Formats: sequence, structure tokens, C-alpha cells
Amino acid sequence: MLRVEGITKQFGGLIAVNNLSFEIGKGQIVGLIGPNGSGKSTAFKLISGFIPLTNGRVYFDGEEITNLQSHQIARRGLTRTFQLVRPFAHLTALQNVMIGGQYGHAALSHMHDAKDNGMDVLAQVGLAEKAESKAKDLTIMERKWLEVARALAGRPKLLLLDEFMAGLNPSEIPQAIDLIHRINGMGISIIIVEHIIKAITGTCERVIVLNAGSKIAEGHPTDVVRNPEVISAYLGRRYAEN
Amino acid sequence: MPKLTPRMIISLLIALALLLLPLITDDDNILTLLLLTFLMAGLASSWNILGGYTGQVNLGHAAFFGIGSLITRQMWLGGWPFALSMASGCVVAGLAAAVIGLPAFRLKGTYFAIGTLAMAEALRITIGNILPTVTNLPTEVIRNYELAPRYYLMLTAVLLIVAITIYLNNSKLGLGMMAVREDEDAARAVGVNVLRVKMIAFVMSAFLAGMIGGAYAFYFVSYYPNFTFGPLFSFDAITVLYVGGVGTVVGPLIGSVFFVILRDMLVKNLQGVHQLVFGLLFIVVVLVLPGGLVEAWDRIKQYVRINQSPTKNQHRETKAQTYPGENLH
Repeated sequence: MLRVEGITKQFGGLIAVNNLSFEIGKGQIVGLIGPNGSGKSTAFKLISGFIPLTNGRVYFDGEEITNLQSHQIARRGLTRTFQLVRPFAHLTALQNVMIGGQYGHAALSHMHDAKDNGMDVLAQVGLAEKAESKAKDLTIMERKWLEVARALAGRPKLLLLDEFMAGLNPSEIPQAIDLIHRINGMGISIIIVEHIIKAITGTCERVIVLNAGSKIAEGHPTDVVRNPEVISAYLGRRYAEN
Repeated sequence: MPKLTPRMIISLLIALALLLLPLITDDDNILTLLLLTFLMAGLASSWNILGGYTGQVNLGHAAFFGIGSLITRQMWLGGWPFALSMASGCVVAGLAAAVIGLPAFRLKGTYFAIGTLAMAEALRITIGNILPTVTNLPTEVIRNYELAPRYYLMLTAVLLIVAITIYLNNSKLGLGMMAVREDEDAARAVGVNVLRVKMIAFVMSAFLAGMIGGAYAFYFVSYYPNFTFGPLFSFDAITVLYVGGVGTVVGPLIGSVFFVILRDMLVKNLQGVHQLVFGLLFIVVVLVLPGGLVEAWDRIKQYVRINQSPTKNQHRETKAQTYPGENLH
């Protein structure tokens, strides 16, 4: 479904992502973790076409998408969300998801199709009653749900969730995890960027660990968190030795 | 077919009254005042497509109004049929936007605004150098000059722009424009081709400004060819729109009525300072009432509703902050 080959991003003298390669199969949920500044979000931006690559190739659904623009990539069914939610604030929740359905992979050209699809998606995330509310009048959590709904409305094949759990309180995290499982249940592959390890272990079948722009480990979450290199990246070398 | 709301019935009645008016009265003062109101409404509504819906502040709107009037006037006086001249004016204005848009949209926000202003001024000065003499209507046209056809042409142009704006409120293209206005990156992330949407909005906006320019060239007897390129046409349009309500259908219409009446009063009583008054008014509106008169009306309605409602306090707590025209559609 997604194959990333040796992607590299250099900002002047800083190598933010260094020769990163991985592959994601259909229907998988994969976590991308690492300490702050390890290049997770940069990797996301590279894959979704938001910033140009210095080096490497990206293949999606059998086609090369390396040099495509972000909207072209979204239209092919690879959709990202933002770490800090960015709904269209002065539009209604329904208008937000309609735009997702019209311009995304779903490419719904008729207004009534986009509206029906939008209402379905809002119902899936529990926002049906808020359809006519302005996005700016929703709570933080509702806005997160809306952001995911807007991406879902485009019927993506692969969803990139950037720190989806950040800013949620502990009682909201189980709901978020449940939503991720439901999205996956629709046959959508998911990559989650997260630095809350707990959120990852509950959802992902496989995690990729980045540190200083390079992949240092990959595997099942329970194995990866025991990996000495991962522990040293997060907590320092002293903890890894014990 | 949507059902007829009171708002739609009122709008249709007003449109009908405006269409019938020249049959009832031949008072040129009334017709002229209305024609100038249509002119401002048309300029403001066409600016609204790029500025209000797509969020790109174009301070060089007068350039497209100017191009429309220039092409129409030159071709018409050169012996071409008027309809063809006016159509050419619209097309050339639209093409000019396409040519200017590609480099200009590499700039964002304030830089785009300054870039468009500079472009319009450069064009105004160039036209002034190339065509320094006054353009007059031919004597046989002046001899048979009637205001009613001019009135109808300007009214038709405005109704067309209003129809397009209503369409934008309920279409994929319009939603795409608003998505670009709200957040370009988020729009891109869901598949909106941001540059393409901006270009379409710019060309539409310029084409329609060119159409208003063409109607102006048909109406105005005598002016310097670079007069219609003057920055005042851009700034007046923006003032009208912000006073009325930016990003809404009725905003530019209400704003233009208000603007023309106020200007008429000020020019009669306080000649020379009316620009100053409009400048201050613009600042006050932007600071106190960013949604213009449309927002004021919404606030009044909301206030009345809250004070009549039995669950008054509850409403007051959940009262949402209003935004330009949020109850319009």
C-alpha cells in the first residue's frame, strides 16, 4: 500500500529525516514513535507532499507519488490530519466534511451526495447533532473528531494521524483509540505519529521508532519498548543498561 | 427547487421594483443615484468573490474595472457593436487576471495586496501616458442619450453577479474557495488544489469587474481613459463590502445603498471631506463590527430572540460569537 524508500530531508546543515525506509500493508495500523525532534512529523510532511524530499522515493498503491503535490496525493487516497487541529473555523461541521468528500479521493461532484456522505461520516464520529454548528464553536475534542471526519469523508485508503491523542484528557483517550479501531475496521490503513507510548501500544500492530531522523527499531510494540536502543533514546543510556 | 423563504420573496420584490422603476419615473436624479448604487454593488460583489470568499485581498481591483471600461469604450467608439465590445472587455479583464495571478499568487496576505495595488497603479499611469486625452461619447450618441438603457445594463450586470455569488454559497467551487480562505494547508490536505481555486476566483472576480467597467463605459459621457483605473474604485468597493458584510451575498448590496446615500449627503453638505469620513467609517467597522451591517442585523435579531425567549439566561450563556453573515445560508 505505502512503500517509503530511503527518504531524506535536509534543512541546511540539519538532517531531519535520514534515509528512512518502511512499508505498510493494506489494513494495517502502524505507529511512528520517537522522542521530540526525532523527525516523525517531518516524515509525515514528506510522505504527504507538504514539503519536498531531499532524496528518496515514495510509492502509494503501486504508483510513485514522490514528486506529486499535496492535494494530488490527498486525491489519490492518502490523507493527513494535523497535530494542532485545523478545521475550517467559520464553516459549519457539515460544510467541513462536505469539502473533504468533494475534493478528496471520494470526488463527490454532486452537492447532495457530498451532503449525504458528510452526514454519514459525522454520525460515525458522533457529531451528527453538531452538523450545523460552526467548527469554531465546537470543543477541542469535537474539533479533533471533526478533523478526522473531514479526512474520512474523502474515503481515504491510508490515513496519517499526526499526534491525534495530544491534548485529550485521560478519559477521552479510550474513545480516541476506539475511533481508530473503527476507522481501521472500514478497511482503511492508518499510520499514527505519537509520542505517548501508551496510546501506541493499545492500537498498533507494528511500530517504527525514530531517533535523530533515523529508524532505530521496528517491530511489535511490546518488543520494541524493551529494545535497549529505544530505551536509551527515550530515557538516556543509563536506563538502557539496567 | 428550494421553497420560497420570506427573504427570497422580499429580494424578488425589490428586484422587480428596480426593473419596473424606469417605466414609472423619468426623474434622472433617482435613476442616476440608483445606477451609481448598482455600480458600487457590482464592484463590491465582484471583489467579494476573491476577497470575501477566497480570502485574497486584492487592492488592484480597479485595474480590471478599468480594463473592462477601456476595451469596451475603445472598441465601441471604433465602430464595433456594443455587445461585442463589452464582451471583449470582460474577456480581456479575465485574461489579465490569469496572467497577473500566476506570479501574484506566489505572494500571500499583505504582500499579495501590495503587489496588486502596485500593478493597478502601474497600469493607471501607463494608460494615462498612452491615452492622455479625454474620451467623449460621439455627438449622435449624446443627442439620443437615454438613461434607462444604462440603468438596465448596470442592473443586469449586478443581478448576474449576485446570482453567481448565490451559486458559490451552495456549490463545490464556493466551498473550495471558503476552505482556501479558512486554512490553505488544511484545504490542501483534503485535496483542494489551492492555486487553481485562487486562479478561478481571481479570473471570475476580474471578468465581472470588467463587465461593470463595460457598463460604466456605456453610461459615462466623458472621462480620462485612466480615470477608471484609479485606486478609489478599489477602495470604495472594499469600504462598501466591509460596511455591508464581507463574504455574504447581501452585504455588498446593503453596503452600496448605505454608501451612495451617505456620499450623496456628504458631497452636498461637507464637500471635500467625504473621503475622510469613509476612511474613519471603514476603520470603525473593521474594529467594532467586522461583519458589517449584516452582522449588526444578526446581532439585533439574536438580542430580540434572547429577550423574548423564556429561557433567557440559558440562551445568553450559550450565545455564540457571530461572524459575517453566518445566518444567511
